[in-house]
Amino acid sequence: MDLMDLNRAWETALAEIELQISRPNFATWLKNSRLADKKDGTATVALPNNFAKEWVKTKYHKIILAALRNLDNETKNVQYEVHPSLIKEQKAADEIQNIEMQNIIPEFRLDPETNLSPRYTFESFVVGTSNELACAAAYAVIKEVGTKYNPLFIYGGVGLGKTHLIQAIGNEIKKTHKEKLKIKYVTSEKFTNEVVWAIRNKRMDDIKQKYRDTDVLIIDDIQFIGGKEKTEEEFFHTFNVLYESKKQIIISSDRPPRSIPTLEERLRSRFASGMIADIGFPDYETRLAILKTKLDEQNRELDEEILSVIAKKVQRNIRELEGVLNKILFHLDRKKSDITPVFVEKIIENDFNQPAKNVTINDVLKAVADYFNVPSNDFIGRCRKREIVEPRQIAMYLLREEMKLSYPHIGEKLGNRDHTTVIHAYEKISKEITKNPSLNQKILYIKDSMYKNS
Amino acid sequence: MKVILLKNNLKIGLETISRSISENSSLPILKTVLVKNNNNKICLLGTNLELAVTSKVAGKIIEEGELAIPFGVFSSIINNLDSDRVNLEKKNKNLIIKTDNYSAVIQGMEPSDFPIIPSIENKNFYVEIQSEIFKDSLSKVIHAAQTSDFRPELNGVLFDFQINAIKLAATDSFRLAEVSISKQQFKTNYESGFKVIIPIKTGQEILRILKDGTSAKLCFDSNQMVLKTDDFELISRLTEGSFPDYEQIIPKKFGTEILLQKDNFVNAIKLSSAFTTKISNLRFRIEDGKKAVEVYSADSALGENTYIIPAKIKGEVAEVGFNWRFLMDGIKAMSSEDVFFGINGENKPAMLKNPEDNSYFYVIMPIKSA
Repeated sequence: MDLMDLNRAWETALAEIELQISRPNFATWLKNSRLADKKDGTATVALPNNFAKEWVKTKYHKIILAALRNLDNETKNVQYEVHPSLIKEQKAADEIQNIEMQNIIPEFRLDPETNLSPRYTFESFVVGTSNELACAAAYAVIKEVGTKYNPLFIYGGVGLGKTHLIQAIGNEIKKTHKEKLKIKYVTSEKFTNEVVWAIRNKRMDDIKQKYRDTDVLIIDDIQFIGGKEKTEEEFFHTFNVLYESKKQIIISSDRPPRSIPTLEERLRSRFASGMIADIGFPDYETRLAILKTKLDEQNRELDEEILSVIAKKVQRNIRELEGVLNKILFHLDRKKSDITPVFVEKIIENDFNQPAKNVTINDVLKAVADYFNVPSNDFIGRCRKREIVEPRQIAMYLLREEMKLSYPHIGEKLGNRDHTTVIHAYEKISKEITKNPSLNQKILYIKDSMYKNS
Repeated sequence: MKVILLKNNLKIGLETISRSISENSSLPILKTVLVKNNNNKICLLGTNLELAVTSKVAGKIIEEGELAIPFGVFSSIINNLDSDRVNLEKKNKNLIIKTDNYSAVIQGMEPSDFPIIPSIENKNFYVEIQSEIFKDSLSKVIHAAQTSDFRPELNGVLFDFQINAIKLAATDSFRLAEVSISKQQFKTNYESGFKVIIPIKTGQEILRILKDGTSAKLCFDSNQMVLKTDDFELISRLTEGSFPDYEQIIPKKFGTEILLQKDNFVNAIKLSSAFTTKISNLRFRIEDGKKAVEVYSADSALGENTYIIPAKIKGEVAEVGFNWRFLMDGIKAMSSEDVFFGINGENKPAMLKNPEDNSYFYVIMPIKSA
C-alpha cells in the first residue's frame, strides 16, 4: 500500500474508533497518529510519543484491531511504533527574525537535513565557456540521478564556483524529486571530524548508517582526505556501497584525481571511473555577467564602465571579484563620492598589492612542500630531479612575488644559490603562468593555503 | 490506601511534580496526581505526556493502594494546612484528608485511567553526576537555547557524551554556549559515546527540582531519558533531530583581543543598555593605543551614553555592536574575575571565555552596523 492508501484507510478506521472513545481521550491519544505500514496481515500504527504508544497499546488495541479488520479481513495483528516527527511543530514565526540587523551564525542557516545552503542555486550560477562542460554534466546528473555520470567529479581552482555548482545540484535534485531522495552535503573536513569523533567514541556504526543511507552524497574538497588513512578507508567503503546500489555521488576537488598526491590508488581509480569535468577561469564576458548577477541579487546598480574595469582587472578568482564589488558598493554608501574608473583601479591595486602580512618564509616553503608532498628540506639541497625542481622554482617565485624578498636573499635561503638562478626561476614561472592554466591553479591553491595557515 | 505523613514532606513532593501537570489539558486525568504506595515509599506521579515526574515521599503506610486526585485542589489544601501531620485515606473513589482540626473529602479518579508511564529500554548504562555540577553546567548553556520551536533541534540542550568528557551545548543561531564536564566529575559505565538533545523544558525542570547535595543518575535510549535521584525520577522524551556541527564556527584567532574585569563589564552593559533601542544594540569601540574599551549606545528619541572600561587590548582597532542581552547571558555564566573577549569584526563570530579555564565558552554574532 502506498502512503495515500494508508492515510485513507487510517482515516476510515479513525472515524470508527472515534465513536467508541470519549472526545478528550480521542484528541489526546490519537491526535497525530498514522498508519505507517500494513503488510502480511500486520498493521503498524505510528504514534508521536511513548506515552501515547503505551496507552493506545493497552487501552485501545482491541478497538483499533476491530476497526482495521472491518476494513480488511486480512489484518490479524497491530503493532505500535513511536515516530517523534509526528509532533506537529508549531512553526512559530521566529520573533528575533524581524530584527534583521542581528547576524546569524552562518553555518546554522543550512538546511539541517541536507546541509545544503539554499543560497546556491542554478539561477545565480553564471555559465560561460569555462564551466560549460561541468554545468552540462550537472544537469545530466539531475535528470538521471545515479545512472548517468557516477561519480561526478568536478575540479577547479580556488574561488571559481565548485561549491556553488555542487550545492546547486543538491538543491535542484531536492526540488525536482520533491524531497523523495535523501541528499547529504558534507565537506571532507567535516567528514574527517565525524570519523575522528566516531573512532574516539566507538560509534563507527553511526557514520556507516548515516552516509550509506543517502541517495545523493555530495562531498566538497575531497583533496583534504588524502593521507588520512582511516577517513579514506571509511570513505572508500561508503563510496562502494553507494556506488553499487546506484546512488549518486558528487565530488569536488581543487585538482584532478591523478594530481592528489596522497590519495590512495584505489580511491583515485574510482573517482576517475565516472565523469570528470573541470571549471576554469571565467573569461571577460562571464566575469561581467557574474558581476551583474551579483548586483541584481543585491538590487543595486553600477555604471557599465565601472563593471568593465573590475571585470578586466580581476581575472583569476570569483571571490575576489565579489570582494572588489562589495568594496565599491561600500564606498558608494559611505562617502557618497563619485566612483570613477581610476578610483576603482586604485581599490583593486590596493587590494592586490598589499604586502603579505604575517607570512613567513617557512609558511611559503611549507605550503609548497605540502602541495607537492615533498620534504621542504629538499628545496635547500642540490637535487635536480624534476619532482623537486618545479616546486623549488615555484617557491622562489612566491617568495619574490608575495613577500617581496630580494633575489640574493631568496637564493641564500634556498641552499645558497646564486641570485641569477632565482631570477631565472621567477621569470620562467611568471611567463608560464599566463600560458599554462594548470600551473596558475597550482599557484593559486598554494597561495590560498599559505595564507590560511599563517 | 491509608498513609500518615509529615505535611512538609508531602508539600515538597507535590512541589516537585507541580510543573509536570498540565492544568489546562482537555483530558481531566492529566490534571491529577497519582498517589500510590509501594516498597514502603509513597509516590506522587504527574505527567504532561512530554515528561513525567515521580516524587518519593517518606511516610507511614498502613494500607496499600492508589488513587488519582485533582492536583489543584489537593496542593492548595496541603499548602495551607497548619498541622504537622496529615492522614490520607482512600474511601471508594474519594480521598479523605485528615488532621487534628481539619478534614476534607476530595473526589478522585480511577487510577487505571492515569497514563502509563513508559519505561526506558536501556536499564544498564548510566551516567552519574553530582547535582551541583550538572545544574551548574546546564544553567551555563540553557539560556542560549532557542525558545521558540522554529527549529526543533535548537529548542534544547545538546548532551554530547564522549567517554572522556561530557559536553553540553545550546544555540539559537545567534549565539552558542558550550560547557565541558571533565572525566573526574562523573561516573559512568557507558562504553561508547552518544549525542542526544534534551528538550529545553525538561532542562528547565531539572534545574528547578534537582536538589543540591544529591547525585543524579542519567540513562538514555534512542528517544527517552531518565534522571533518577533519591527523591524523584524524571522521564522525558528527547528532541528528534541532530544538533548542528558547531566545531567549525568556534573562532580560533581574533583580530582584537580584550581582557576585562568581569564586574566592570557587567556594570558597563547594565548602565549603557539604558539607551539601546528595540534591537538591544550596544556598540563597542576599540581605538588605537588606548587602554580602554568604549561602550556606546544611542536612541534617537531618548539620547545617548558612553561608558569607558579599562582593559588590556591586543590587535586591531574595531567598532562592533552586540545585543547586550546576549552578552550578559554569556558573561553571567562565568565565575572568573576577568573575562576574555575576542572580536573578529562585525560579520564574524566573537567569543567570550574565562582566560584561565577552557571548560566554558560563549560564541556570539555581532549586530550589523547599517
